Amino acid sequence: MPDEQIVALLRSEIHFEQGFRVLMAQYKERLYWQIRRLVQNHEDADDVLQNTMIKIYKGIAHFEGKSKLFTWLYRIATNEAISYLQSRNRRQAHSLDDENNHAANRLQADSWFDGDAVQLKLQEAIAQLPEKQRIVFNLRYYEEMPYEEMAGILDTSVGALKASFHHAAKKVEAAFRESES
Amino acid sequence: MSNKENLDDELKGISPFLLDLKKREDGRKVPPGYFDQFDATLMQKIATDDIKRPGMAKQSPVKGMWASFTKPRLLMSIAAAVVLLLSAFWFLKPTTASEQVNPLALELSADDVEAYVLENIHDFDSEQLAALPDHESLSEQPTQTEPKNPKKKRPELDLKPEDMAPLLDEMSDEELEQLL
Repeated sequence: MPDEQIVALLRSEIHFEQGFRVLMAQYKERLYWQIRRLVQNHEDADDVLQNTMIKIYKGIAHFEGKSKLFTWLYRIATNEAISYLQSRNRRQAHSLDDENNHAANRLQADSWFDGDAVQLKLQEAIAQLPEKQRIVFNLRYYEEMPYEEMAGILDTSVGALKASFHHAAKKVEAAFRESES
Repeated sequence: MSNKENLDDELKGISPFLLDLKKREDGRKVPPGYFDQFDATLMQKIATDDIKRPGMAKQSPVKGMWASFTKPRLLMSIAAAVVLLLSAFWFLKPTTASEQVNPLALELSADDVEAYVLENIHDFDSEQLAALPDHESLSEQPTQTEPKNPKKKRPELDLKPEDMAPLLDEMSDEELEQLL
């Protein structure tokens, strides 16, 4: 169903619930994977996705339609994931950019990860990226998101995003190769 | 050109190595049926935690005001305020002279007053007799003990100090003695 129709349903008192169910059916998996790649394990991703959906449920009245629905949803999911990481890192007393030290352990401990050694090394390399580069890398590399859409979500210019992805990809490859040697 | 083709071209230029890795499974899984059950789980959470979504449509001010007027609590408050205002108006309104009631007259009829005064005239001095309400004004007041009877006119008892002397002059000695 097109976003315009979902929004129309969500704006109707009678059809709100139907609209919300359509929205979940259409976007929950994409939002889940975006969140999962940021927080690493399934349990955390599930918590964050639920919080994201509740924020959407409560806040859809504030969606003015200036951006695409999809952009608005991704922004909420990304912010929710970052907030979750920040609070988790505060509890565990380490910085967000220090995530790489813990990402590999978290990934190995996740019972819903069965990647091989190569995948584990790749995730460790991605985890070493600074927070914003990591988000850009995930959205581009895994979600294959066009830069124009990403610009709407991250409030950053297309040129800056292209440069950010370029640097991120180079760093990931370098970190991967370094871990092999 | 699709997003994937775009990305593949871009990665070819930046890192062919990452392009190769991208073709492999990333190893992340979800529990079986997770996405199928997610909607029901979330709706259950929304119901359990009593999560409310804010109203979608903005109410017009008139509609909003009418809606607030139809709330039972507000209606009861308004009714109570009206009763209080009416009560206050009733008890506090200034009374006119015609509405003022002589408390004596509420208890006694004009005949009773007259009879009492005549029987005990020696207990009154001339000023007190002059201060007594006249028979007409007493008769005008509604009494609790005697219904009004307009046909039965009584002699007036309008004794002023200056009227007392001629009245006494007119009375015979016998009448005066009987009176005393």
